[in-house]
Amino acid sequence: MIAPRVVAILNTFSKTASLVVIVIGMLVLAGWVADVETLKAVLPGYEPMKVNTSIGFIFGGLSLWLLLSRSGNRTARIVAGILAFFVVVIGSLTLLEYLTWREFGIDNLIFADPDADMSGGFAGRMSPLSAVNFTILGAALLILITRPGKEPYSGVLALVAAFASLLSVLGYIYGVAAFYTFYTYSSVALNTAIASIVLALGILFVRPERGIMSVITMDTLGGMMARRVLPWAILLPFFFGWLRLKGQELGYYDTGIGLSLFAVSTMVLFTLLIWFSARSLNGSDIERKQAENEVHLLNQGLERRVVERTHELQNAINELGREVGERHKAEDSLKVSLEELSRKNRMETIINAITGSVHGSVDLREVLSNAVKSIKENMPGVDFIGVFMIEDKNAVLMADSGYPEDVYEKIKVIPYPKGLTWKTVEEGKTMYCPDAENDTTIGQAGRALGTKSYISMPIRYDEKTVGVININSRTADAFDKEELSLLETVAIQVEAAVHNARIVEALRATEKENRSLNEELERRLEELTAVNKELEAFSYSVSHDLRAPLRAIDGFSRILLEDYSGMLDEEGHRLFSVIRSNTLNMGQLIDDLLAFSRLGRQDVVPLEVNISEMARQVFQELQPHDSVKTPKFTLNHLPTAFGDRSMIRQVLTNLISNAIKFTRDRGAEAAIEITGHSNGRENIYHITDNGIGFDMAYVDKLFGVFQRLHSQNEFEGTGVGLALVKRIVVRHGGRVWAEGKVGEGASFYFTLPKDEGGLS
Amino acid sequence: MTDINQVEILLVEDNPNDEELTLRALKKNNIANNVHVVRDGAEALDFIFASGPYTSRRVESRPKVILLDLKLPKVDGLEVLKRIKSDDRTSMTPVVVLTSSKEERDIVESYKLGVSSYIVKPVDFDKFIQAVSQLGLYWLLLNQPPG
Repeated sequence: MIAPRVVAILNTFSKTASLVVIVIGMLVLAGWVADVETLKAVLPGYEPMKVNTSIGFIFGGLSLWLLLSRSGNRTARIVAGILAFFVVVIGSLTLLEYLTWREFGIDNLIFADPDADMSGGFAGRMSPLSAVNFTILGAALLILITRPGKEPYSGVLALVAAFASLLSVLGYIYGVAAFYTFYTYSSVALNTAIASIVLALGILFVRPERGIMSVITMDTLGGMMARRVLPWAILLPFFFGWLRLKGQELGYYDTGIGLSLFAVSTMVLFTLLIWFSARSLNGSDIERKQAENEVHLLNQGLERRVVERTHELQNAINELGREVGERHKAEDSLKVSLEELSRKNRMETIINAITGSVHGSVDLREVLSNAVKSIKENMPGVDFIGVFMIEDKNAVLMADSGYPEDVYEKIKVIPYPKGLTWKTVEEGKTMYCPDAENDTTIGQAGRALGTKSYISMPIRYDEKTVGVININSRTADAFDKEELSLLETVAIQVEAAVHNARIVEALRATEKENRSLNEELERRLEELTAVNKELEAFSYSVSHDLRAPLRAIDGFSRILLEDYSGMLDEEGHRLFSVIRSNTLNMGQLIDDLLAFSRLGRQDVVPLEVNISEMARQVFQELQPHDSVKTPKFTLNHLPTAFGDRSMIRQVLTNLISNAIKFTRDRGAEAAIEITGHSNGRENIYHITDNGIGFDMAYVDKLFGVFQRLHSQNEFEGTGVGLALVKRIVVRHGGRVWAEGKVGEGASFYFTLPKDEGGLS
Repeated sequence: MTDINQVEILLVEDNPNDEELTLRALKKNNIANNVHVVRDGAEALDFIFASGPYTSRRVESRPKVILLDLKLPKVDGLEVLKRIKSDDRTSMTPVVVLTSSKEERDIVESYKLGVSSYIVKPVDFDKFIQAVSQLGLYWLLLNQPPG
């Protein structure tokens, strides 16, 4: 509310005033030092300013200057205070001198006043008014310096001093000595009076925003009015007073008229002044009121807008609140579905872990351990889990999530038919008890675990319960339908693991058996090889040593016949021939046997064989030299076979020689026919003759070793030929069989592989 | 006994009956004069390489043919055959295996070692006589040995 411009102007005035006062004091002091009258008294003949007065002004001015420009500095304030105090001291001591009529020796302390008698009073002593002024101004300064907030007092004191000095100045101007001279005492010098006014105003304008000055400096109509009117209130009476005084002196009018004129002109001018001021103020006031009105309207608009905006904001806040609410709701539902998702995730983790484990391992214990671990980690309700497998009459704990030691000892093997586990085994279905505290099935061990709800689930294999999964929770009703069905899935996986384990077990057993069988086989093979070697040595020996004696028997009996034939009759010759024929038979038998036994050891060297050509050659070699006895031989086209040439030749030889032998009684009608055809991968050949045939009742004996259907007298033979045929054909992967009828003939069939693939 | 440097047929045979039968067959064809008989493989080698009791013999006086049985005491026939055929001084002497063995591997092995002929002694005496006669005639009369 303070008009800052006014304050600034007044402050500047104060500061300037302090400097002006100092300068005046210094000039006077210099005048005293140099004894220059002009400096001391301004105008010649005027009363000079005393030394003490000048010092008082210097101190007062310095004090004011320090107060204004160094107020923040503590030392400056102390110095200012001391200076003000000196001003008070100077004034009050002088005043005391006047009152007590005594001389303290302070008046001419520095310089002696040469004009001792001029003023008729006390040389060098300042006037009583100046003394009062210094006392008052010093006090005002002290108040300003030491008592902030007491500005009204310093203001009043300063005003008093100012008006008192103004009176002295008016005395000089109006030429009334009484205004500046008191009795005989020294009068107030003009410069002293001016300096006093300046110092007093300077002091008055210190802190113009406070104290009595605040009325003037306020930015209000009153302040404005004061600032406009006050200068005139001082200047106009001063000017009209001077006019009246001069007019009276010049004799234009007497005192009465002069006073009336002064009063009237003062009234008129003040009335005008106030009227103009009031008008100007009214204008300002109207403007202000209009402005206020506008401001009021603006305010109203603003208020309305504020209300509207507030309303909008409220709506927005409400809307936001609603949105936040909805968002919270959405978040809640999201949280629920997230929970659901993580639950599903955990369940899937369990299934994956177990499935992976079942497919990755055939070790049942490992699979069960993994299953237990995964369920414990991923199903929050599970506090304990144990998997039991049934072994005979015991449920054996195979995997668990860590039962306490004492419980573990109790349940690591549960004998039949104890407790929940065996109940599950017998019933073969999952039991879920959500409220274990009121359950009678749960045993001591379960109670020791602090079970509030439990699951007991069978593991089935091959339609039997082979194990049980027990789950205990310390929370009542810890599992929902979904978790139960998950656990059912787990049980199915565990069943798969049991299945795998059983298969592996069976495989291992088979493998072991196979190994021992193999070992046995190898052992037998070694034995066989040894036997075979012995047999070989045996047949070698037979080949050499059995024939030599026969040769000796035949040879020497022949020598006997040659050398001593004259000594033998016909009967002797016959007997020798019996010896010889038996010897030859035995030779043949040994040859056949050796061939037969050799066949078992000989390797088959498979090659393509032209059976037609081979049969033709064999027949040619075997046919009797007597053409009359030669049977009719029909050789049809035969398919090519695959086998060992020498062996197949043996087959053909034996079969064709048999056919010739058994048809020789037919004479010219004897006929042998060989035919053959392909059948799948094999060829079937048959040799048919119209010989003596055989009784089908003995067909089984035909291919046995040493089996003969005819006596040696009828048909010679060793009984090895057909056995040899069978052995060779069988070694080629083929079959041999015969058909016949006594007196009508016989057919011998044999098969040979068509190509290399048919050879087994 | 024949002069050991004039031997035309060396008969290596441990069985005395076979030896007698063989000699009889040779006699029938009048070729049994210069036959020398040894009764095991070791003696055969001594004779052939002029060692042991036969040091007075000259190795170069080769027989026209050696009739060699395979199953012999001490050193077997195949070994004897191998020694004969691996020595330059004797390798050109014809060797005929005359044995009871019809074993394929004996036949194959003998031919591999360089036998001139392989004859299985027949049990039938007539055939035996016939076989020995033929081979005696062939090797002593028909065959022309190297100088």
